[in-house]
Amino acid sequence: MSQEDQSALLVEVTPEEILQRAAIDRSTRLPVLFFFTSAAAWLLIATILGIISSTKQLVPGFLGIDWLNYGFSQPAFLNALLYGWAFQAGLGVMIWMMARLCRTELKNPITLVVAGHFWNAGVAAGVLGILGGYGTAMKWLEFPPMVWPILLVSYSLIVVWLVVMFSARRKGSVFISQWYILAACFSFPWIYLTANLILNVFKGTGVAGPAIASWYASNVLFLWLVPVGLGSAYFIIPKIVGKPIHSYQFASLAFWGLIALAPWTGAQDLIGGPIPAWMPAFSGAAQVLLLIPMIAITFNHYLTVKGSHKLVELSPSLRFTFFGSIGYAVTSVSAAVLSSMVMARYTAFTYVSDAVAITGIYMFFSMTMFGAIYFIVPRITGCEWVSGGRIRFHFWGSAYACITLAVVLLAGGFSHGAGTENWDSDMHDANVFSSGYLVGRILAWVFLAAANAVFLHHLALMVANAGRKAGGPTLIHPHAPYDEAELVITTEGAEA
Amino acid sequence: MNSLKNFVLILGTCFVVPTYCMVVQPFAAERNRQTVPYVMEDPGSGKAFDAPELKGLSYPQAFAGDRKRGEEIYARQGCAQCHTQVIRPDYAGIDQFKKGWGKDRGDAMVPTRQTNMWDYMHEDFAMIGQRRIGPDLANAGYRFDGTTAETDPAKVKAEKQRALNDFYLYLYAPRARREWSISPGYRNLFITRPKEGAGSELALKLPANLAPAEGLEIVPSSDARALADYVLGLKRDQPIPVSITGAKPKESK
Repeated sequence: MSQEDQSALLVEVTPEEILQRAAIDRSTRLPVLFFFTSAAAWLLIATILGIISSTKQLVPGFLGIDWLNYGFSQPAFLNALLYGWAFQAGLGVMIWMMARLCRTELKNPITLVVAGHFWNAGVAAGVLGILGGYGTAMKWLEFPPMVWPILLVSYSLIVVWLVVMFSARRKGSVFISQWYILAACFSFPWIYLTANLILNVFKGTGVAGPAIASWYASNVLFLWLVPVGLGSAYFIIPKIVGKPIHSYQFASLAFWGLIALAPWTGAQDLIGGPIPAWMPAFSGAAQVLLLIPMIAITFNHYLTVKGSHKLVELSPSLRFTFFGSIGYAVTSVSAAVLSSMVMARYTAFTYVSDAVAITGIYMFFSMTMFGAIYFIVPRITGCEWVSGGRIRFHFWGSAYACITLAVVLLAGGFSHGAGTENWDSDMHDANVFSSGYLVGRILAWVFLAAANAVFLHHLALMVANAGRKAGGPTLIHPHAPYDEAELVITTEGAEA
Repeated sequence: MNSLKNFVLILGTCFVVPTYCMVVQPFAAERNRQTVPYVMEDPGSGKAFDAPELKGLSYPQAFAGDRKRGEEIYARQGCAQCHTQVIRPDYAGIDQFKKGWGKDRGDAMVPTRQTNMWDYMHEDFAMIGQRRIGPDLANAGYRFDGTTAETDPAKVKAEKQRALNDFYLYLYAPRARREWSISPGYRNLFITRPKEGAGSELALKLPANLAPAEGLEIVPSSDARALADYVLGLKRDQPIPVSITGAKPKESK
């Protein structure tokens, strides 16, 4: 791959090209909208569960319902957020981007929608199973054991068509986003099958069990969420800025750095635990080394946007994606902090691990997906987002909440760890030290609930074909007349 | 590298090696782990030996009673979301010296021994846990200890029952024991039913504000009893055979 190859992304748009893109968008309309809407619905459910579980942690008697106890609502919340929202939003983006980048129409939208229904049924059964007291203790695998084959088969049925599309692609050169999406296609079945076979079928894992569950959780984060999010960012940023990625060689190297290092991570959750000492040492080292591809990627994004910061202010897609790119840096840094031996004394088994999960799933991945959804939906529905004000509310509600969550969970985690170090107070000090931060966490989830309700309503209007039919693309701010001269957003909006 | 085949090959290599090292190999090691018999060698031979009262035993001893089902209830009720079961060495945390996390019940600081791989070998999935919001439960059996110096069988039984009832009360209403606790009460594991005669000996003795109506009693369900078997059996301080620790032979007295 060379610098020239990616110019394919930015070719002069001919009338023929526009017709072809419209045909591709039409072919993906059904499955992509299906995944986006069901993802957004799960997002709202997860947000409400988030409010409940974070309140339950501080006030165990809240609502007085036993099956919403923290031990049930916390895993139900995290799994709904991950498998309900993140995976489905990611699948929608993967389908559309793969079709666009391969310049092929999607041949079998119905298969994908059917598989998507099974995925939704699996997630619903899993979340209800956790709340009903049939969950497991495995990190990010808390769904009852009967659920995993449903999820695995429906996921494979979806991504197999993406691989088929890739094989049937029209042009020889391949863009970096395609490699990221392909990697995500293969990585999830691999790690999900491995972890579930060993933990739910073979069993008898002893101390290897939690190490394997942590390996799985870390790999979902760095081998599924990160590739899909970055694939999307590498597509959206150059499209909106209207110039190629700053350094394509760097992007390529960072991709392989990520793929080679990420599968080693995970066991650092158990520093000092009764597993062979080389495991957390290896994993921790890999996690810290992952900072190198992260720095390369974040700088690449930053340097691509440099000079066009006005667009970050105006374009919803670019603003969300750019914020997500910052979230990726925050996730990587906090994951690296968690895995150092010195820090682990204060961070292991505290809210810092929640900080990594939430920054990874929300501040990075979800924000990037929002960016992609704001870009894709007008193209496949043929109408524009109703109001920039709603997008602005969604952005600031989410951004403030994400930053608050990252700060309170990191600070609360360190306080909790410091409180645990008092030898004669049992857990009293730890809980008192961290309780103030937990109030902040509840507030952040309330903010997110408001932002997501607005987003869901906005998306529902678009799906119901009640969007704006005329005029240019919806921007976050209505652009002032004096901006008109310098404002060139060629690729934003349904026409492009 | 523009072909799908090469891409999949490189990707596969990147996945297979770590999967073997971080997943398959540790799993195989745990599946092949055997109990270790305590060895009684003559002190004169200079070889390692374990304490005489351990003769004929192996480390670790298998789970007894309903503990296997209790382990499952522990997982399903989400206990591991907030409770860990691991005593780490001092470079990783204060676990070994934390008051009440081991056998110690008084004010003196008694170090607890680290947990090791054998301590978990009978478990399907070691409940190391995800967060430590509540206290560590690696030695939870000592938190609700029913052993006593008494020899009268009736008193021994009564003491055991008292410890068990303490546990049930804590499970039902954690704040009845510690008002600052943020542990949820697991009322779903208890049954409210009409009292028969003098009532069950397992019935909860609740403070007035939580007590059920007259003529009713609250008793633990079979799930709660299995959970009690499991939690009260958590004592990860069995002596480690010298063949594992590799300690120098003790001098004979």
